[in-house]
Amino acid sequence: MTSPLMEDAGLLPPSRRISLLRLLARDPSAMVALVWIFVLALVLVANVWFLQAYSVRVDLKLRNAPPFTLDNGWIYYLGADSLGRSMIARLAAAAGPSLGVAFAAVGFSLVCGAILGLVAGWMSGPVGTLILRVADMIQGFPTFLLALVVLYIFGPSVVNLVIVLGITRMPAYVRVARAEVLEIRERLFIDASRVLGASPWWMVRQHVLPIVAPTLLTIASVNLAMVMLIESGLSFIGLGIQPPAASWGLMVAQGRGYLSNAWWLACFPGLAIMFTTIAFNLLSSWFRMATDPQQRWRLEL
Amino acid sequence: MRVTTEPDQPVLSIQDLRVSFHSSSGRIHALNGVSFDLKHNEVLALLGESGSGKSVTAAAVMGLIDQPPGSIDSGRILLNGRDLLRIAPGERRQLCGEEVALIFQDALAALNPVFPVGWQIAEVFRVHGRLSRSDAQREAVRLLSAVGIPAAEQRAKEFPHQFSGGMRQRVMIAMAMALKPRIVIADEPTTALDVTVQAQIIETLKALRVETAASFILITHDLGVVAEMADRVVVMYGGRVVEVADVYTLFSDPQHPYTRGLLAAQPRLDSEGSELVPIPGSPPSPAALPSGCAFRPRCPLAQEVCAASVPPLARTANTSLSACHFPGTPT
Amino acid sequence: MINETIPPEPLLKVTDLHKHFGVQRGPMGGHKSAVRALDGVSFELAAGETLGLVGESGCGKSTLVRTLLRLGSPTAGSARLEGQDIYSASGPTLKHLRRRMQVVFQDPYQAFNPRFTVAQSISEAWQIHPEVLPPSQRPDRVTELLTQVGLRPEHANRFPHEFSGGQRQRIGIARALALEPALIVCDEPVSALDVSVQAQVVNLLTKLQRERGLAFLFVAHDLAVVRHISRRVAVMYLGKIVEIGPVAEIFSAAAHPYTQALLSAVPVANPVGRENRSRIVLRGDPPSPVSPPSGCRFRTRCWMAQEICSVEEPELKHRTGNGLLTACHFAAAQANHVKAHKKDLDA
Repeated sequence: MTSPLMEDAGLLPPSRRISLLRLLARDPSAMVALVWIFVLALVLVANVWFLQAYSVRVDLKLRNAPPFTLDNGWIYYLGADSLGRSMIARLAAAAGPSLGVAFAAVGFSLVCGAILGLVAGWMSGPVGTLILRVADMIQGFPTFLLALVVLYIFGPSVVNLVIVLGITRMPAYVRVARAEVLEIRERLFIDASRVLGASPWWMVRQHVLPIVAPTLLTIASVNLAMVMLIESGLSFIGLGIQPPAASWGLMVAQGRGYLSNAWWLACFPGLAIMFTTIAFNLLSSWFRMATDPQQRWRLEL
Repeated sequence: MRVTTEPDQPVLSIQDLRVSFHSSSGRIHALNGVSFDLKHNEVLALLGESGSGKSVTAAAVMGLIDQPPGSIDSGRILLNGRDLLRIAPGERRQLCGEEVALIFQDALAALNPVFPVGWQIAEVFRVHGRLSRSDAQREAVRLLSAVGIPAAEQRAKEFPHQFSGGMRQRVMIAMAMALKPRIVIADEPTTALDVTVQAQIIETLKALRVETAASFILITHDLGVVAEMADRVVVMYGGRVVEVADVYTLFSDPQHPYTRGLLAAQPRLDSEGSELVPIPGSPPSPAALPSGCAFRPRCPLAQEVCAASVPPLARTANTSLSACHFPGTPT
Repeated sequence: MINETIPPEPLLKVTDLHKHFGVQRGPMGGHKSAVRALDGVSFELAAGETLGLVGESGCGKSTLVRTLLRLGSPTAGSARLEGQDIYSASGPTLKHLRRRMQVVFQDPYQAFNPRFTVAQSISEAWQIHPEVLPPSQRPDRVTELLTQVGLRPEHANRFPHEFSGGQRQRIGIARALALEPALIVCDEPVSALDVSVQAQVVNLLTKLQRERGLAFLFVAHDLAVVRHISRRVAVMYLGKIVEIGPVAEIFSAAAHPYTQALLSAVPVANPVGRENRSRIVLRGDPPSPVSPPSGCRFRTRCWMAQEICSVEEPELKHRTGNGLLTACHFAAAQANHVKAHKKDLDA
């Protein structure tokens, strides 16, 4: 045992440097989330590989076939939809567009919203005010209505869908990013950085962004569900994903009319949306804890 | 109802007080057997640094420790012979409210920002059902002027944020003295103040002590304030009392190595250029106290026995009390 | 006269620095009252010396620190570091200037990004100025700096919240040393620390100064600490320097009444003789920096004030022949505060 370490009197025991993966392992809910995401990845691969064919095979004898029975073969284990297409295959085929549109839209609003918010917060002045006012205006419109109008005018392509969903959700990121920047800007370590000679770009990149990022990611994960649902509404009225392509949202919307006799048509895609959004919520919560040195101990204990 | 005590009986007696707090990282032992007495009309300084437990002691006396997460594990607090920890809360409030007053460190936080200060002082009388509203207001103005606030009548109608730091502290003092308490606990009354304002406050407190014959517990980390005001000093470290001495004896013949270290480490206005002698290391966190004597990791005299057992508070050759296995040994 | 040696250019030369913060605009945008935080501050600092700066709240010392560090630009006046104008520098000149002047802040808790390890916080200096130290040498230098401030190499990978206040302040000093500056501005570096720890940090600063020839601008409100570490001391009141000079003279023969009052107010850590100790007790509070009194700003609290004090502002100049510059019409060298008479001011 070393001599009394006088500089260490009062110091907390050193935190062990654990790799990110093991930190993940210590959070059971994050692990479950990871499992689900892994399943999704498998599904996407399987879809490209062989499930695609089954998703378009129409078999009217098996219209609305009930789930949880292997009578019709394993492919129909989750039942069949109103055209006799395998639910498993349909879900797999819909995974791509659903996740793709949702991620693209959320990613777009996250990145652009973050940039605009950072600029608005750091620069304040007229530029900042302008950005804020524009964000206010967008936020003032009901999202669905705005999307409706835009897609009607410009046509319901996937690109337009992503853009309009992204723009309508952007104000939340702008406001939160701006608010956090305003607060962080006043902190003493920013002054310390400035005295070291840091440029504003450096300070935003090194100091502000890592602090703001977890909050924005949390918002993003919540937005994921919202975007999927809005997309489902748009798809239902024909302005979203166009059939024969499918999305989970579209499947939910189409299955609504069959709730009393074929509940699985709407239920399974709904569950898919739910599990996916919960998984990302859990992961972003874990991420927030893992990147904050003062909260890490919760995972390391 | 006021209880009178014999002049040589202690007004307040704290015996073997142990207080801990439950937290997510374990049990925090804030006080580990604190004992001392407060005599009639004396100024007793509780001297200590962060983590020493001096503020927790005051909170325990005032009944300000929330029982979860805190817990008063053992000990007695005797006010005029009654154990405050064992009487009913209502009785305690009554007994304490009139006899013991607290001057907070942060006057801005302790005063309600939306009420005029005169109203807040008058509230003390109203809560204890003593005076009519107009009488209470008049008395509040008188108190403000007694603590040295000019144009008291006008200023009584003003709000806390309209006062400077020193003036706010005077308002706190006025509020504390309202019911003519016999014990005044001043928690770091000058720490946040400029030095010239500090001098004013010290003068005010000294004058009050003479006028009211109250006893003061002065909680501070500032040796200068202790030297100016205190009669006796209780030095605290790591939640324990490590030395009790008369103020002159403490400064001329300190017994405990920590006290010596503090005296040597303090830069003096009258010393020039000589190297300061710091105490190595830092004060211990109450969440992780060393075994045996809490000062051991920083003590130049530390031996094996210091890790093995907590030294008891015992009388030394010069009539001080010291909790050290080797008191009085030159460091 | 012909062979008079030219004194070397001081390391830092501050000339008539003003910093006003706008408070209100009148309804027509015309009348504007300003907080005159700095109202004409001038001083010099030589290489390798420590200038202590004392004053109470509202005197402007925090504003001076921020303005000198270019964390805000002055309303008027100039400052030169090693001959280079601080406020007109930009681009690479400014970057170079930054390397020469660093800071240790008061609050060791807020001065670090809580997500950066100690090594990252210190290395940031070299990431911003890559020409000072190539990346391969940085970890070793971090170890070297940590050892020099009394910490251990293993501490490099820990986070700020794992350290005590005194240790964090040492890390702050290590960071300030990273670019090998000529001047370190210390903004109340020990005020937030326990007494037993203050001495450690003060000793560390003196040691570093001896070894590296650093100059310090040591801003503090604790006069005893300032006395210990400074070679010269400046006293500020309401945005101006009222007295400046060698430390021994300031503490034993201060001529300005405010300095005398300040010294007299410091509690003496020795109870012997306390009944007989007389002190100057100033009445009231400092006036508002928005509308300072005319003439000498201290006159509203000064026991020696005469009519001239409200008319003519006293200049900071030699008046007592012992190296002190004093801004008082009646500068009189009195004995030190222990012998000063107690005076209660009559309003």
